[in-house]
Amino acid sequence: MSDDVLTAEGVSVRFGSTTVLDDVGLRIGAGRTVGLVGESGSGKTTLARAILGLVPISSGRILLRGADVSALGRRERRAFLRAVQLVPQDPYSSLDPRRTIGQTLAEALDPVRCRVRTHRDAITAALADVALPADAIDRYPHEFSGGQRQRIAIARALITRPDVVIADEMTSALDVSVQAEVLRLLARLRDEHDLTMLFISHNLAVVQQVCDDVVVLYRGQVIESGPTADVFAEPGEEYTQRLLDSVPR
Amino acid sequence: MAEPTIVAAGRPKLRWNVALAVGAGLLAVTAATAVIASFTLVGAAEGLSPDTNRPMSADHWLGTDAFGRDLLARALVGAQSSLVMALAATALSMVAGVLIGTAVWVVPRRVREAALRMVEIAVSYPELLVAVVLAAILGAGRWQLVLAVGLANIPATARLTANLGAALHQRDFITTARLTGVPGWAMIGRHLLPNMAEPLLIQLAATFSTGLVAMSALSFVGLGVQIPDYDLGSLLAAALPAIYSRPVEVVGPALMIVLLSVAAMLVGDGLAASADPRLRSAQARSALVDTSTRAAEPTPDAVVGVRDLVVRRGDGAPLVRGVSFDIGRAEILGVVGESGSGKSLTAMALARLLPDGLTAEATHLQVAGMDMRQNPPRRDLATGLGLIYQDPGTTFNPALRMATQLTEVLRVHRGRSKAEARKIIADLLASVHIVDPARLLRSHPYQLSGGMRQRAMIAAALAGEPALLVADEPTTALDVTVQAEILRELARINTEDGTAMLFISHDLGVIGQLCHRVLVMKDGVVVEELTAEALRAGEVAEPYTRMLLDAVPKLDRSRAVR
Repeated sequence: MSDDVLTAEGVSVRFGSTTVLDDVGLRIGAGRTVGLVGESGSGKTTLARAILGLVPISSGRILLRGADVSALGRRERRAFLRAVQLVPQDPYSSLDPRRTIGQTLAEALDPVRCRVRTHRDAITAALADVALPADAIDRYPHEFSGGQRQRIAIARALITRPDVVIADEMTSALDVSVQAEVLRLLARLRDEHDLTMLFISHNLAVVQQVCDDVVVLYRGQVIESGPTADVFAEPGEEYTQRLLDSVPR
Repeated sequence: MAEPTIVAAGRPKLRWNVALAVGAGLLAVTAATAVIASFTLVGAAEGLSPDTNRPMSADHWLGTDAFGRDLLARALVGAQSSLVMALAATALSMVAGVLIGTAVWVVPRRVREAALRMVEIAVSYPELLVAVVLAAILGAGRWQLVLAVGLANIPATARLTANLGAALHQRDFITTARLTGVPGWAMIGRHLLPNMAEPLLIQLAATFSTGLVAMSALSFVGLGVQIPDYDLGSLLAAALPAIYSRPVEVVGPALMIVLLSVAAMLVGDGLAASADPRLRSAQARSALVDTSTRAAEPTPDAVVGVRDLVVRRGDGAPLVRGVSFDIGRAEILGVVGESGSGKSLTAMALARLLPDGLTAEATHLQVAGMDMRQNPPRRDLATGLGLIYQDPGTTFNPALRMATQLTEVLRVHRGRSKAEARKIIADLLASVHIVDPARLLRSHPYQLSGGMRQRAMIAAALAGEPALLVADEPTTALDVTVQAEILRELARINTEDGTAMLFISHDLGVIGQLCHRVLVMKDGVVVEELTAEALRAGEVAEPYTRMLLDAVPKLDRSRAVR
């Protein structure tokens, strides 16, 4: 497909003699949300970190709009990191407790100078996008609840208008009612901004609600992938079946 | 989840506290006196006069020395000299140490590892010893002394900073900042330094304080300031020969050393306490406890009976506000609620395991015939109820083999021999479907998977044949397939042995699958009690329960394939 935004081709990651990712392939089409599911140790987070260049890949390549990420120069790499944004799992660890929300968002826009005043309008708009009042700009993270913090993390990721958002267990640390609120917000933002997203989660029900496509990782390998509706209704692999059967109903 | 605390926001302001006020006051007065003295009292301190060896008097508060110089004036002028030197040495070691300690976190990994090893080696030499060696090499003199003490204190500050940086390095906001392309200097200035402010301020005060003492000590032994210059240390040295005949000579310099170093420590502590923005908006919430809705009399043959349980924080604010329930024989009672609802505190109060600072009170609190408001014998406690915690990764002592830990209750409280206890545990492990119990017993916790550890935990909890099993989010940290196995295990134990259970979870799906009866908690009170069938069928009356149910994403397996 030519409209793939982010592609992973035969990506392997080894830590010493252990193979964490083995020949993993993944493609995320424009405007689609791809769910990455699997149990702990299956390599979900490692794949996200490999895409972002936080862990070195031993073979294979990552492509953003057809361009190999490893071949990027210093400036292009910076542009890539603005185009691919991460929303981490724990909203209590992803915001610097000593910086106001405005400073955090300003840094995403302008990592070098980081002036809140210059970007005040953009920041207010980004906060409004995630339904937070404009006066949040001068407040500190500890003044917000977990759900609000996760919304700030989303605003931080979206403020650079990224091509791809990588959400790593974005709702796993939240209460169900807060999770529901964040998922509603996410659905609205996907509509409004036509987001392209890699949604990593161990919660299959959440993945079903959020994702167009799903990729099942098992021990570092992709064992199944396809449209979420198809995979969940008729899993082709015994492991996927077991995974689905384990969800309490 | 705590509600957003809306507080007046603005620029971070210095918040005064007692330590800061006293320390700053003491330091300001002492330092100002010393500085003023260095301008006005030089004549009295250094000019020779015929009034030699005078005792304390109105003219000379601390008397005079063998050359007729005023001892108080000398102590004050000397203090000014020591103060300036200590400040210079502190500045040197803090600036260099903090630079090294933060820079290692923005340079490539290899450089960092090498730098950290070097810092570790440098730290292993005692500071005073290094300072003595350096002072001996550099030669005697005021600025040589500053250099020696300043350099000697660098490694300690560098290591502290690097360690603080290591903890921060794991945090997601550092990762996102790095991904955003924040340059190294900005990373240090914006994210690293502000988040290590308190420990560094304390370190600053400690460095100043120990630096002052170290320099005084070096001057005292003659390695520092030389005659005709003087500082507190050399004044002490000069006073030493006459300590028996004229002890008053040591009072001035000794007093100044103590005053300055204590004041510096107080300032450090005070700054640390006021630097944290989280402490600035600290506020106590209080609420009324309404226990007027009297629950029915306790059922006599229930395994657990709780009436009007209240758990309070140290400041009196209630976290659990009047909870009452029974658990019958062979019943699994589920408690569901969001974080902060008080569900775990309820369970922990039942097991007398509340965190420090929390207190529980109740009109009735009975578990397996024990009145938990009294202090039941440890043996009864250990065998009356079993506990399963959330995180099997931290439940076990990583240094001990599983056999030692799992057989503890049996050996200590049931008086079984080692071999007997091992046999019983091995059988229990087999019953929770551990394939090779003997191998598990030989293992250390890190060699086991999360599921195996949690099975071992269940086996250990069952070892005392408890009447009640309290399980606090026992499957939350586990993968979904492992969770399903553990739930099956608990259900089997309940049907086969008739063990009553109190099962805490935030997961309505899990609760509905395992439990017979369910309490829904919110803000420390039970808002609804219902049967598991009603929960599964969605027949709930309370809007909060309805909201919770609606919030749970349901896996829909029947969705048609297009």
